[in-house]
Amino acid sequence: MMHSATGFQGLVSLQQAVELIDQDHALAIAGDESLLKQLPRGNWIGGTIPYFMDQRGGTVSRDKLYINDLSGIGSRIDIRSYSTHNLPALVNEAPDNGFSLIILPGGSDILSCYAKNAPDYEDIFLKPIIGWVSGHHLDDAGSATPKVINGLDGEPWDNRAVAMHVGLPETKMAQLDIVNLFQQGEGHTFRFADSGFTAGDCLIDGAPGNFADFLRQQEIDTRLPLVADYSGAMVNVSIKGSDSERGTVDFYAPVFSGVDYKLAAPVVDYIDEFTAVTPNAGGSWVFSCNCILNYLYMDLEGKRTANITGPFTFGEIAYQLLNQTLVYLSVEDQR
Amino acid sequence: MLDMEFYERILGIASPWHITKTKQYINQQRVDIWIAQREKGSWFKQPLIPKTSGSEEVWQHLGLGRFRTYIHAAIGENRIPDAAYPWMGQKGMPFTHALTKRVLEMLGERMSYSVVCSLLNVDLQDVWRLKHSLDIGTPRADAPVAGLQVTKGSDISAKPSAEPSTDIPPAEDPIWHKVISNETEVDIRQLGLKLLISRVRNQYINADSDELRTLRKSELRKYFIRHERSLQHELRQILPL
Repeated sequence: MMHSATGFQGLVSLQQAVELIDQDHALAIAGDESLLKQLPRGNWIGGTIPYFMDQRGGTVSRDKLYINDLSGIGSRIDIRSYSTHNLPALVNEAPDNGFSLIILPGGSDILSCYAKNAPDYEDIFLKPIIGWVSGHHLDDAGSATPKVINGLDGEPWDNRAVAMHVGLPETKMAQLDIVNLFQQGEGHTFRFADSGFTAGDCLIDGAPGNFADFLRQQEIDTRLPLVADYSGAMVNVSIKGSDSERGTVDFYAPVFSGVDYKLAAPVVDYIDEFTAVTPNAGGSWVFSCNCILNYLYMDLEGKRTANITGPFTFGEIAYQLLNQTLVYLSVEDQR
Repeated sequence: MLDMEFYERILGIASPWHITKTKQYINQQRVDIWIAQREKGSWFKQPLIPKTSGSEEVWQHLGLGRFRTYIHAAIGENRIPDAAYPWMGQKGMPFTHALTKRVLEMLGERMSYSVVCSLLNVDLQDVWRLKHSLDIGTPRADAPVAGLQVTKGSDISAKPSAEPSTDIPPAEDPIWHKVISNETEVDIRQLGLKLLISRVRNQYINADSDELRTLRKSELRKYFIRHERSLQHELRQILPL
Protein backbone atom coordinates (compact mmCIF):
# COMPACT_ATOMS: atom_id res chain seq x y z
CA MET A 1 0.00 0.00 0.00
CA MET A 2 1.29 3.47 -0.88
CA HIS A 3 0.89 6.26 1.64
CA SER A 4 1.01 9.90 0.63
CA ALA A 5 0.19 13.24 2.12
CA THR A 6 -3.22 12.96 0.56
CA GLY A 7 -4.19 9.52 1.82
CA PHE A 8 -3.18 5.98 1.00
CA GLN A 9 -3.87 3.85 -2.00
CA GLY A 10 -3.06 0.34 -3.07
CA LEU A 11 -4.10 -3.29 -3.02
CA VAL A 12 -5.50 -4.64 0.23
CA SER A 13 -7.12 -7.86 1.40
CA LEU A 14 -10.86 -8.14 1.92
CA GLN A 15 -10.30 -8.08 5.69
CA GLN A 16 -8.26 -4.86 5.49
CA ALA A 17 -10.96 -3.22 3.39
CA VAL A 18 -13.65 -4.26 5.87
CA GLU A 19 -11.65 -2.74 8.73
CA LEU A 20 -11.24 0.57 6.89
CA ILE A 21 -14.96 0.73 6.13
CA ASP A 22 -15.80 -0.08 9.73
CA GLN A 23 -13.50 2.75 10.79
CA ASP A 24 -15.64 5.06 8.66
CA HIS A 25 -13.01 5.81 6.03
CA ALA A 26 -14.24 7.27 2.73
CA LEU A 27 -13.04 4.87 0.06
CA ALA A 28 -13.11 4.36 -3.68
CA ILE A 29 -12.75 0.63 -4.26
CA ALA A 30 -12.01 -1.46 -7.33
CA GLY A 31 -12.19 -5.23 -7.29
CA ASP A 32 -13.83 -8.44 -8.31
CA GLU A 33 -17.60 -8.48 -7.83
CA SER A 34 -17.43 -11.44 -5.44
CA LEU A 35 -15.27 -9.38 -3.04
CA LEU A 36 -17.20 -6.12 -3.37
CA LYS A 37 -20.41 -7.93 -2.45
CA GLN A 38 -18.87 -9.02 0.87
CA LEU A 39 -18.05 -5.49 2.00
CA PRO A 40 -20.15 -3.93 4.77
CA ARG A 41 -22.17 -0.79 4.18
CA GLY A 42 -20.30 2.43 4.65
CA ASN A 43 -18.78 5.48 3.03
CA TRP A 44 -17.51 3.91 -0.12
CA ILE A 45 -18.17 3.55 -3.80
CA GLY A 46 -16.97 0.62 -5.85
CA GLY A 47 -16.73 -0.84 -9.29
CA THR A 48 -15.92 -4.27 -10.62
CA ILE A 49 -12.51 -4.91 -12.17
CA PRO A 50 -9.74 -7.41 -11.33
CA TYR A 51 -6.85 -5.70 -13.18
CA PHE A 52 -4.49 -3.39 -11.34
CA MET A 53 -1.18 -1.61 -11.47
CA ASP A 54 0.49 -1.78 -8.08
CA GLN A 55 4.00 -1.17 -6.85
CA ARG A 56 5.14 -4.51 -8.23
CA GLY A 57 3.67 -3.95 -11.69
CA GLY A 58 0.57 -4.85 -13.66
CA THR A 59 -1.39 -7.67 -12.08
CA VAL A 60 -4.71 -9.47 -12.16
CA SER A 61 -6.27 -10.49 -8.86
CA ARG A 62 -9.65 -11.78 -7.79
CA ASP A 63 -8.74 -11.77 -4.10
CA LYS A 64 -7.45 -8.23 -3.60
CA LEU A 65 -9.17 -4.88 -3.68
CA TYR A 66 -7.63 -1.62 -4.83
CA ILE A 67 -8.41 1.19 -2.45
CA ASN A 68 -8.12 4.96 -2.66
CA ASP A 69 -8.68 6.42 0.78
CA LEU A 70 -10.09 9.91 0.39
CA SER A 71 -10.88 10.44 4.08
CA GLY A 72 -8.05 12.81 4.88
CA ILE A 73 -8.46 14.89 1.77
CA GLY A 74 -11.93 16.33 1.78
CA SER A 75 -13.61 18.74 4.12
CA ARG A 76 -16.95 17.29 2.98
CA ILE A 77 -17.72 13.98 1.28
CA ASP A 78 -21.02 13.15 -0.35
CA ILE A 79 -21.92 9.86 -2.04
CA ARG A 80 -24.62 9.80 -4.72
CA SER A 81 -26.12 7.38 -7.24
CA TYR A 82 -27.38 8.44 -10.65
CA SER A 83 -29.71 7.02 -13.26
CA THR A 84 -29.92 8.21 -16.85
CA HIS A 85 -32.69 10.56 -15.71
CA ASN A 86 -30.75 12.57 -13.16
CA LEU A 87 -27.23 12.17 -14.56
CA PRO A 88 -26.96 15.81 -15.71
CA ALA A 89 -27.36 16.79 -12.04
CA LEU A 90 -23.92 15.28 -11.38
CA VAL A 91 -22.18 18.54 -12.20
CA ASN A 92 -24.58 20.65 -10.16
CA GLU A 93 -23.99 18.43 -7.16
CA ALA A 94 -20.20 18.48 -7.56
CA PRO A 95 -18.55 20.79 -5.05
CA ASP A 96 -17.53 24.29 -6.11
CA ASN A 97 -14.04 23.62 -4.80
CA GLY A 98 -13.12 19.96 -4.91
CA PHE A 99 -13.60 17.06 -7.25
CA SER A 100 -15.96 14.22 -8.06
CA LEU A 101 -14.97 10.61 -8.59
CA ILE A 102 -17.49 8.75 -10.72
CA ILE A 103 -17.76 5.05 -11.64
CA LEU A 104 -19.95 3.92 -14.52
CA PRO A 105 -20.74 0.31 -15.45
CA GLY A 106 -19.15 -0.87 -18.72
CA GLY A 107 -21.45 -1.60 -21.63
CA SER A 108 -24.44 0.08 -19.99
CA ASP A 109 -26.98 2.59 -21.23
CA ILE A 110 -25.88 5.05 -18.58
CA LEU A 111 -22.29 4.86 -19.82
CA SER A 112 -23.51 5.49 -23.34
CA CYS A 113 -25.61 8.40 -22.08
CA TYR A 114 -22.68 9.93 -20.20
CA ALA A 115 -20.24 9.39 -23.05
CA LYS A 116 -22.47 11.08 -25.60
CA ASN A 117 -23.86 13.90 -23.49
CA ALA A 118 -21.40 14.81 -20.74
CA PRO A 119 -19.37 17.21 -22.92
CA ASP A 120 -22.54 19.31 -23.20
CA TYR A 121 -23.47 19.36 -19.51
CA GLU A 122 -23.50 22.83 -18.03
CA ASP A 123 -20.21 23.63 -16.31
CA ILE A 124 -18.84 20.12 -16.98
CA PHE A 125 -15.33 21.46 -17.58
CA LEU A 126 -15.42 23.84 -14.63
CA LYS A 127 -15.40 21.17 -11.93
CA PRO A 128 -12.88 18.31 -11.95
CA ILE A 129 -14.71 15.06 -12.65
CA ILE A 130 -12.50 11.99 -12.75
CA GLY A 131 -13.48 8.36 -12.82
CA TRP A 132 -13.57 5.08 -14.57
CA VAL A 133 -15.70 2.45 -16.25
CA SER A 134 -16.13 -0.85 -14.45
CA GLY A 135 -15.52 -4.17 -16.18
CA HIS A 136 -14.80 -7.82 -15.53
CA HIS A 137 -12.14 -10.46 -15.99
CA LEU A 138 -11.68 -11.00 -19.71
CA ASP A 139 -12.19 -14.74 -19.20
CA ASP A 140 -15.71 -13.92 -18.01
CA ALA A 141 -16.72 -12.06 -21.18
CA GLY A 142 -20.26 -13.07 -22.03
CA SER A 143 -21.14 -14.26 -18.53
CA ALA A 144 -20.24 -11.34 -16.26
CA THR A 145 -21.78 -7.87 -16.26
CA PRO A 146 -19.79 -4.86 -15.07
CA LYS A 147 -21.26 -3.36 -11.89
CA VAL A 148 -20.96 -0.38 -9.61
CA ILE A 149 -21.88 -0.25 -5.92
CA ASN A 150 -22.93 2.60 -3.68
CA GLY A 151 -21.49 1.51 -0.34
CA LEU A 152 -24.25 3.30 1.56
CA ASP A 153 -26.76 0.64 0.48
CA GLY A 154 -24.44 -2.09 -0.81
CA GLU A 155 -26.56 -2.77 -3.88
CA PRO A 156 -24.71 -3.71 -7.09
CA TRP A 157 -26.02 -1.93 -10.19
CA ASP A 158 -25.35 -2.53 -13.85
CA ASN A 159 -27.17 0.57 -15.06
CA ARG A 160 -26.52 3.26 -12.50
CA ALA A 161 -23.52 5.46 -11.85
CA VAL A 162 -22.05 6.16 -8.43
CA ALA A 163 -20.07 9.21 -7.47
CA MET A 164 -18.16 10.51 -4.50
CA HIS A 165 -18.18 14.29 -4.33
CA VAL A 166 -15.22 15.53 -2.33
CA GLY A 167 -15.24 19.14 -1.17
CA LEU A 168 -11.83 20.64 -0.44
CA PRO A 169 -10.87 23.37 2.01
CA GLU A 170 -10.26 26.79 0.47
CA THR A 171 -6.52 26.33 0.83
CA LYS A 172 -6.52 23.35 -1.55
CA MET A 173 -7.37 22.83 -5.20
CA ALA A 174 -7.85 19.76 -7.37
CA GLN A 175 -6.10 19.40 -10.72
CA LEU A 176 -7.17 16.84 -13.27
CA ASP A 177 -4.97 15.75 -16.16
CA ILE A 178 -4.17 12.89 -18.47
CA VAL A 179 -1.16 11.03 -19.81
CA ASN A 180 -1.77 9.92 -23.36
CA LEU A 181 1.12 8.47 -25.29
CA PHE A 182 -0.78 8.49 -28.53
CA GLN A 183 -0.35 11.40 -30.90
CA GLN A 184 -2.12 11.96 -34.19
CA GLY A 185 -0.32 10.15 -37.02
CA GLU A 186 0.64 11.78 -40.27
CA GLY A 187 -2.06 10.02 -42.28
CA HIS A 188 -5.61 10.70 -43.33
CA THR A 189 -8.19 12.83 -41.56
CA PHE A 190 -11.58 11.30 -40.76
CA ARG A 191 -14.77 13.21 -40.07
CA PHE A 192 -18.03 11.51 -39.15
CA ALA A 193 -21.51 12.82 -39.92
CA ASP A 194 -23.09 11.56 -36.71
CA SER A 195 -21.91 11.18 -33.14
CA GLY A 196 -22.01 7.66 -31.73
CA PHE A 197 -20.31 4.44 -30.76
CA THR A 198 -20.67 3.06 -34.29
CA ALA A 199 -19.70 4.69 -37.55
CA GLY A 200 -19.24 3.70 -41.16
CA ASP A 201 -19.56 6.27 -43.88
CA CYS A 202 -17.39 9.29 -43.27
CA LEU A 203 -15.29 11.90 -44.98
CA ILE A 204 -11.69 10.83 -45.55
CA ASP A 205 -9.61 13.92 -46.24
CA GLY A 206 -12.86 15.59 -47.26
CA ALA A 207 -13.93 12.90 -49.73
CA PRO A 208 -16.78 10.45 -49.06
CA GLY A 209 -15.55 7.05 -47.89
CA ASN A 210 -16.19 4.26 -45.44
CA PHE A 211 -14.11 3.79 -42.31
CA ALA A 212 -14.56 -0.01 -42.17
CA ASP A 213 -13.48 -0.33 -45.79
CA PHE A 214 -10.50 1.92 -45.09
CA LEU A 215 -9.35 -0.20 -42.14
CA ARG A 216 -9.61 -3.37 -44.21
CA GLN A 217 -8.02 -2.04 -47.38
CA GLN A 218 -5.14 -0.36 -45.57
CA GLU A 219 -4.69 -3.32 -43.16
CA ILE A 220 -4.67 -0.91 -40.24
CA ASP A 221 -3.57 -2.15 -36.82
CA THR A 222 -6.82 -1.50 -34.94
CA ARG A 223 -5.01 -1.43 -31.62
CA LEU A 224 -4.17 2.13 -32.60
CA PRO A 225 -6.97 4.50 -31.59
CA LEU A 226 -8.42 7.41 -33.46
CA VAL A 227 -7.04 10.61 -31.97
CA ALA A 228 -8.69 14.03 -31.93
CA ASP A 229 -6.84 17.21 -31.04
CA TYR A 230 -8.89 19.24 -28.53
CA SER A 231 -6.84 22.42 -28.42
CA GLY A 232 -3.75 20.45 -27.55
CA ALA A 233 -5.37 17.67 -25.53
CA MET A 234 -5.14 14.40 -27.45
CA VAL A 235 -8.39 12.47 -26.98
CA ASN A 236 -8.50 8.83 -28.07
CA VAL A 237 -11.38 6.77 -29.37
CA SER A 238 -10.42 3.09 -29.37
CA ILE A 239 -11.61 0.67 -32.01
CA LYS A 240 -13.65 -2.22 -30.67
CA GLY A 241 -14.24 -4.07 -33.91
CA SER A 242 -14.82 -3.64 -37.58
CA ASP A 243 -17.53 -5.31 -39.67
CA SER A 244 -16.56 -4.93 -43.29
CA GLU A 245 -19.72 -6.70 -44.49
CA ARG A 246 -21.95 -4.14 -42.79
CA GLY A 247 -19.44 -1.39 -43.39
CA THR A 248 -19.40 -0.30 -39.77
CA VAL A 249 -16.84 0.12 -37.02
CA ASP A 250 -17.66 -0.06 -33.30
CA PHE A 251 -15.80 2.10 -30.81
CA TYR A 252 -15.25 2.02 -27.04
CA ALA A 253 -16.16 5.72 -26.84
CA PRO A 254 -18.26 7.81 -29.18
CA VAL A 255 -16.86 9.69 -32.12
CA PHE A 256 -18.34 13.17 -32.35
CA SER A 257 -19.59 14.83 -35.49
CA GLY A 258 -17.69 17.92 -36.53
CA VAL A 259 -14.44 16.67 -35.00
CA ASP A 260 -11.40 15.72 -37.08
CA TYR A 261 -9.79 12.39 -36.21
CA LYS A 262 -6.55 10.78 -37.28
CA LEU A 263 -5.24 7.32 -36.56
CA ALA A 264 -2.57 7.36 -33.87
CA ALA A 265 1.10 7.07 -34.60
CA PRO A 266 2.48 3.81 -33.17
CA VAL A 267 4.00 3.83 -29.69
CA VAL A 268 7.38 2.12 -29.82
CA ASP A 269 8.11 1.43 -26.16
CA TYR A 270 5.23 2.11 -23.83
CA ILE A 271 7.16 1.88 -20.57
CA ASP A 272 10.00 4.14 -21.69
CA GLU A 273 7.75 6.73 -23.28
CA PHE A 274 5.34 6.63 -20.34
CA THR A 275 8.12 7.24 -17.87
CA ALA A 276 9.45 10.10 -20.00
CA VAL A 277 6.17 12.03 -20.17
CA THR A 278 4.56 11.20 -16.82
CA PRO A 279 4.93 13.91 -14.20
CA ASN A 280 6.31 12.82 -10.87
CA ALA A 281 3.36 11.44 -8.95
CA GLY A 282 4.91 12.59 -5.68
CA GLY A 283 2.55 12.83 -2.76
CA SER A 284 -0.13 14.97 -4.36
CA TRP A 285 -1.77 12.33 -6.54
CA VAL A 286 -5.09 11.29 -5.11
CA PHE A 287 -6.38 8.98 -7.81
CA SER A 288 -5.32 7.53 -11.12
CA CYS A 289 -6.43 4.77 -13.44
CA ASN A 290 -5.22 3.45 -16.75
CA CYS A 291 -6.91 1.63 -19.60
CA ILE A 292 -7.28 -2.13 -19.83
CA LEU A 293 -6.30 -1.83 -23.52
CA ASN A 294 -2.95 -0.36 -22.52
CA TYR A 295 -2.52 -3.29 -20.12
CA LEU A 296 -3.27 -5.74 -22.94
CA TYR A 297 -1.73 -4.09 -25.99
CA MET A 298 1.40 -2.90 -24.19
CA ASP A 299 1.74 -6.18 -22.30
CA LEU A 300 1.99 -4.51 -18.89
CA GLU A 301 1.55 -7.61 -16.74
CA GLY A 302 4.41 -7.62 -14.24
CA LYS A 303 5.74 -4.29 -15.52
CA ARG A 304 5.69 -0.98 -13.70
CA THR A 305 4.69 2.37 -15.19
CA ALA A 306 6.82 4.88 -13.27
CA ASN A 307 5.36 4.80 -9.74
CA ILE A 308 1.77 5.15 -10.89
CA THR A 309 -0.75 2.72 -9.42
CA GLY A 310 -4.48 2.15 -9.76
CA PRO A 311 -7.02 0.00 -11.55
CA PHE A 312 -6.92 -0.84 -15.25
CA THR A 313 -10.37 0.03 -16.46
CA PHE A 314 -12.83 -0.37 -19.33
CA GLY A 315 -12.78 3.39 -19.92
CA GLU A 316 -11.42 6.46 -18.19
CA ILE A 317 -13.23 9.64 -17.23
CA ALA A 318 -11.51 12.99 -17.28
CA TYR A 319 -14.59 15.18 -17.56
CA GLN A 320 -15.62 13.02 -20.53
CA LEU A 321 -15.07 9.40 -21.50
CA LEU A 322 -11.59 8.61 -22.79
CA ASN A 323 -9.88 5.47 -24.06
CA GLN A 324 -6.32 4.14 -23.82
CA THR A 325 -5.41 7.01 -21.53
CA LEU A 326 -4.13 7.36 -17.99
CA VAL A 327 -6.12 9.90 -15.99
CA TYR A 328 -4.97 11.32 -12.69
CA LEU A 329 -6.06 13.82 -10.11
CA SER A 330 -3.84 15.71 -7.73
CA VAL A 331 -4.68 17.95 -4.80
CA GLU A 332 -2.39 20.90 -4.33
CA ASP A 333 -2.13 24.04 -2.24
CA GLN A 334 -3.94 27.06 -3.70
CA ARG A 335 -1.49 29.57 -5.01
CA MET B 1 -67.00 24.98 -20.02
CA LEU B 2 -66.36 28.06 -17.91
CA ASP B 3 -62.95 26.61 -17.12
CA MET B 4 -62.13 26.37 -20.79
CA GLU B 5 -63.19 29.93 -21.54
CA PHE B 6 -61.21 31.12 -18.58
CA TYR B 7 -58.08 29.28 -19.70
CA GLU B 8 -58.50 30.42 -23.31
CA ARG B 9 -58.64 34.02 -22.11
CA ILE B 10 -55.63 33.89 -19.81
CA LEU B 11 -53.52 31.87 -22.25
CA GLY B 12 -54.48 34.09 -25.17
CA ILE B 13 -55.85 31.26 -27.27
CA ALA B 14 -57.91 32.50 -30.20
CA SER B 15 -59.76 30.97 -33.13
CA PRO B 16 -59.12 28.70 -34.97
CA TRP B 17 -57.52 27.22 -31.84
CA HIS B 18 -59.55 26.31 -28.83
CA ILE B 19 -59.33 24.27 -25.69
CA THR B 20 -60.96 20.85 -25.95
CA LYS B 21 -60.29 19.57 -22.46
CA THR B 22 -58.66 20.53 -19.18
CA LYS B 23 -57.63 18.41 -16.25
CA GLN B 24 -56.45 19.55 -12.87
CA TYR B 25 -54.32 17.45 -10.57
CA ILE B 26 -54.57 19.25 -7.27
CA ASN B 27 -52.16 17.03 -5.34
CA GLN B 28 -49.53 17.25 -8.06
CA GLN B 29 -50.17 20.98 -8.50
CA ARG B 30 -50.52 20.52 -12.23
CA VAL B 31 -52.98 21.57 -14.93
CA ASP B 32 -53.15 19.82 -18.29
CA ILE B 33 -54.80 21.63 -21.20
CA TRP B 34 -55.63 20.11 -24.57
CA ILE B 35 -55.76 22.48 -27.53
CA ALA B 36 -56.87 21.79 -31.09
CA GLN B 37 -57.91 23.58 -34.25
CA ARG B 38 -61.54 23.83 -35.23
CA GLU B 39 -62.50 22.41 -38.61
CA LYS B 40 -63.32 25.17 -41.07
CA GLY B 41 -67.00 25.97 -41.07
CA SER B 42 -67.63 23.92 -38.00
CA TRP B 43 -68.01 26.83 -35.61
CA PHE B 44 -71.74 26.47 -35.39
CA LYS B 45 -71.81 22.73 -35.66
CA GLN B 46 -71.65 20.49 -32.65
CA PRO B 47 -69.72 18.56 -31.65
CA LEU B 48 -66.49 20.25 -32.67
CA ILE B 49 -64.06 17.83 -34.22
CA PRO B 50 -60.45 18.69 -33.56
CA LYS B 51 -58.28 18.72 -36.64
CA THR B 52 -55.49 16.29 -35.96
CA SER B 53 -52.21 16.75 -37.70
CA GLY B 54 -49.64 14.35 -36.34
CA SER B 55 -48.99 12.92 -32.92
CA GLU B 56 -49.73 14.85 -29.77
CA GLU B 57 -46.95 16.95 -28.30
CA VAL B 58 -46.84 17.97 -24.64
CA TRP B 59 -45.03 21.11 -23.56
CA GLN B 60 -44.69 22.72 -20.18
CA HIS B 61 -46.00 26.28 -20.25
CA LEU B 62 -45.64 29.22 -17.89
CA GLY B 63 -47.05 28.22 -14.54
CA LEU B 64 -50.39 29.27 -13.15
CA GLY B 65 -49.55 30.25 -9.60
CA ARG B 66 -47.88 27.27 -8.02
CA PHE B 67 -49.38 24.94 -10.62
CA ARG B 68 -47.35 23.65 -13.52
CA THR B 69 -49.20 23.98 -16.82
CA TYR B 70 -48.87 21.42 -19.58
CA ILE B 71 -50.22 22.06 -23.07
CA HIS B 72 -51.21 19.12 -25.27
CA ALA B 73 -51.55 19.74 -29.00
CA ALA B 74 -50.84 18.11 -32.34
CA ILE B 75 -48.89 20.28 -34.74
CA GLY B 76 -47.49 17.71 -37.15
CA GLU B 77 -44.45 18.87 -39.04
CA ASN B 78 -45.74 22.43 -39.31
CA ARG B 79 -43.49 25.15 -38.03
CA ILE B 80 -45.62 27.77 -36.39
CA PRO B 81 -44.25 31.21 -35.56
CA ASP B 82 -43.86 31.45 -31.81
CA ALA B 83 -44.78 35.13 -31.64
CA ALA B 84 -48.32 34.28 -32.67
CA TYR B 85 -48.63 31.18 -30.51
CA PRO B 86 -46.57 31.54 -27.36
CA TRP B 87 -48.50 28.70 -25.73
CA MET B 88 -47.28 26.32 -28.40
CA GLY B 89 -43.86 24.64 -28.56
CA GLN B 90 -41.52 23.14 -31.04
CA LYS B 91 -41.84 19.46 -31.86
CA GLY B 92 -39.81 17.34 -29.45
CA MET B 93 -38.99 20.23 -27.14
CA PRO B 94 -39.93 20.34 -23.46
CA PHE B 95 -41.34 23.86 -23.20
CA THR B 96 -43.75 26.17 -24.98
CA HIS B 97 -42.27 29.12 -26.85
CA ALA B 98 -43.16 31.45 -23.97
CA LEU B 99 -41.47 29.30 -21.34
CA THR B 100 -38.49 28.64 -23.62
CA LYS B 101 -38.05 32.38 -24.02
CA ARG B 102 -38.16 32.87 -20.25
CA VAL B 103 -35.64 30.06 -19.60
CA LEU B 104 -33.22 31.43 -22.19
CA GLU B 105 -33.55 34.95 -20.85
CA MET B 106 -32.56 33.72 -17.42
CA LEU B 107 -29.66 31.62 -18.70
CA GLY B 108 -28.57 34.64 -20.70
CA GLU B 109 -28.50 36.57 -17.43
CA ARG B 110 -26.03 33.90 -16.23
CA MET B 111 -28.37 32.44 -13.68
CA SER B 112 -27.42 28.90 -12.72
CA TYR B 113 -29.58 26.00 -13.90
CA SER B 114 -30.72 25.32 -10.36
CA VAL B 115 -31.95 28.90 -9.89
CA VAL B 116 -33.77 28.82 -13.22
CA CYS B 117 -35.40 25.51 -12.29
CA SER B 118 -36.44 26.78 -8.91
CA LEU B 119 -37.85 30.06 -10.19
CA LEU B 120 -39.75 28.67 -13.12
CA ASN B 121 -40.73 25.38 -11.49
CA VAL B 122 -39.17 23.33 -14.27
CA ASP B 123 -37.04 20.18 -14.21
CA LEU B 124 -33.28 20.34 -14.62
CA GLN B 125 -33.37 17.58 -17.19
CA ASP B 126 -35.74 19.60 -19.39
CA VAL B 127 -33.63 22.73 -19.18
CA TRP B 128 -30.59 20.69 -20.06
CA ARG B 129 -32.48 19.16 -23.02
CA LEU B 130 -33.33 22.62 -24.26
CA LYS B 131 -29.75 23.82 -23.84
CA HIS B 132 -28.41 20.72 -25.55
CA SER B 133 -30.68 21.21 -28.57
CA LEU B 134 -29.58 24.83 -28.69
CA ASP B 135 -25.96 23.75 -28.69
CA ILE B 136 -26.47 21.48 -31.65
CA GLY B 137 -28.47 24.13 -33.43
CA THR B 138 -31.95 22.65 -33.68
CA PRO B 139 -34.13 25.38 -32.16
CA ARG B 140 -35.43 28.39 -33.97
CA ALA B 141 -32.95 31.01 -34.98
CA ASP B 142 -35.22 33.73 -33.66
CA ALA B 143 -35.15 32.48 -30.09
CA PRO B 144 -33.86 35.25 -27.85
CA VAL B 145 -30.99 34.13 -25.73
CA ALA B 146 -29.01 36.72 -23.94
CA GLY B 147 -28.94 40.36 -23.12
CA LEU B 148 -32.62 40.58 -22.30
CA GLN B 149 -33.95 41.78 -19.02
CA VAL B 150 -35.37 39.34 -16.53
CA THR B 151 -39.11 39.83 -16.35
CA LYS B 152 -40.21 42.35 -13.80
CA GLY B 153 -41.52 40.75 -10.68
CA SER B 154 -38.90 38.03 -10.54
CA ASP B 155 -37.73 37.22 -7.08
CA ILE B 156 -34.85 39.59 -6.39
CA SER B 157 -33.00 36.82 -4.55
CA ALA B 158 -32.85 34.79 -7.73
CA LYS B 159 -30.74 37.28 -9.60
CA PRO B 160 -27.23 36.09 -10.27
CA SER B 161 -24.92 36.70 -7.40
CA ALA B 162 -22.59 39.61 -7.83
CA GLU B 163 -19.39 38.66 -9.60
CA PRO B 164 -16.25 38.81 -7.53
CA SER B 165 -13.94 41.67 -8.33
CA THR B 166 -11.93 40.53 -11.34
CA ASP B 167 -9.58 41.77 -14.02
CA ILE B 168 -11.08 39.34 -16.50
CA PRO B 169 -12.56 41.35 -19.40
CA PRO B 170 -16.37 41.36 -19.82
CA ALA B 171 -17.99 39.00 -22.32
CA GLU B 172 -18.41 41.87 -24.77
CA ASP B 173 -14.64 42.46 -24.95
CA PRO B 174 -13.24 41.60 -28.41
CA ILE B 175 -10.58 39.40 -26.80
CA TRP B 176 -13.06 36.57 -26.34
CA HIS B 177 -13.87 36.51 -30.03
CA LYS B 178 -10.14 36.48 -30.80
CA VAL B 179 -9.47 33.62 -28.39
CA ILE B 180 -12.41 31.51 -29.55
CA SER B 181 -11.76 32.07 -33.23
CA ASN B 182 -8.04 31.44 -32.67
CA GLU B 183 -7.05 34.88 -33.92
CA THR B 184 -5.16 35.15 -30.65
CA GLU B 185 -3.36 31.88 -30.09
CA VAL B 186 -3.18 30.87 -26.46
CA ASP B 187 -0.96 28.15 -25.07
CA ILE B 188 -3.28 26.29 -22.70
CA ARG B 189 -2.06 24.09 -19.86
CA GLN B 190 -5.29 23.05 -18.14
CA LEU B 191 -7.11 20.03 -19.53
CA GLY B 192 -10.54 21.43 -18.64
CA LEU B 193 -9.88 24.62 -20.56
CA LYS B 194 -8.57 22.73 -23.59
CA LEU B 195 -11.74 20.64 -23.74
CA LEU B 196 -14.02 23.61 -23.08
CA ILE B 197 -12.45 25.86 -25.68
CA SER B 198 -12.70 23.13 -28.30
CA ARG B 199 -16.41 22.71 -27.61
CA VAL B 200 -17.05 26.44 -27.50
CA ARG B 201 -15.16 26.94 -30.77
CA ASN B 202 -17.33 24.38 -32.52
CA GLN B 203 -20.54 25.91 -31.17
CA TYR B 204 -19.36 29.44 -31.87
CA ILE B 205 -18.74 28.65 -35.52
CA ASN B 206 -22.19 27.10 -35.83
CA ALA B 207 -24.01 29.84 -33.89
CA ASP B 208 -26.49 31.68 -36.04
CA SER B 209 -27.03 34.74 -33.86
CA ASP B 210 -25.03 37.26 -31.87
CA GLU B 211 -26.90 36.18 -28.76
CA LEU B 212 -25.66 32.61 -29.09
CA ARG B 213 -22.13 33.81 -29.70
CA THR B 214 -22.34 35.98 -26.58
CA LEU B 215 -23.50 32.94 -24.62
CA ARG B 216 -20.39 31.03 -25.75
CA LYS B 217 -18.10 33.92 -24.84
CA SER B 218 -19.75 34.08 -21.42
CA GLU B 219 -19.12 30.36 -20.91
CA LEU B 220 -15.44 30.75 -21.62
CA ARG B 221 -15.18 33.83 -19.46
CA LYS B 222 -16.87 31.98 -16.61
CA TYR B 223 -14.08 29.39 -16.70
CA PHE B 224 -11.44 32.10 -16.48
CA ILE B 225 -13.19 33.78 -13.56
CA ARG B 226 -13.57 30.53 -11.68
CA HIS B 227 -9.98 29.42 -12.21
CA GLU B 228 -8.37 32.84 -12.30
CA ARG B 229 -5.74 31.98 -9.71
CA SER B 230 -4.52 28.88 -11.54
CA LEU B 231 -4.70 30.40 -15.04
CA GLN B 232 -1.96 32.98 -14.75
CA HIS B 233 -0.04 31.42 -17.65
CA GLU B 234 -3.06 31.72 -19.95
CA LEU B 235 -4.17 35.13 -18.64
CA ARG B 236 -0.77 36.65 -19.31
CA GLN B 237 -1.34 35.84 -22.97
CA ILE B 238 -4.76 37.46 -23.29
CA LEU B 239 -4.77 40.40 -20.88
CA PRO B 240 -3.30 43.73 -21.99
CA LEU B 241 0.03 44.47 -20.35
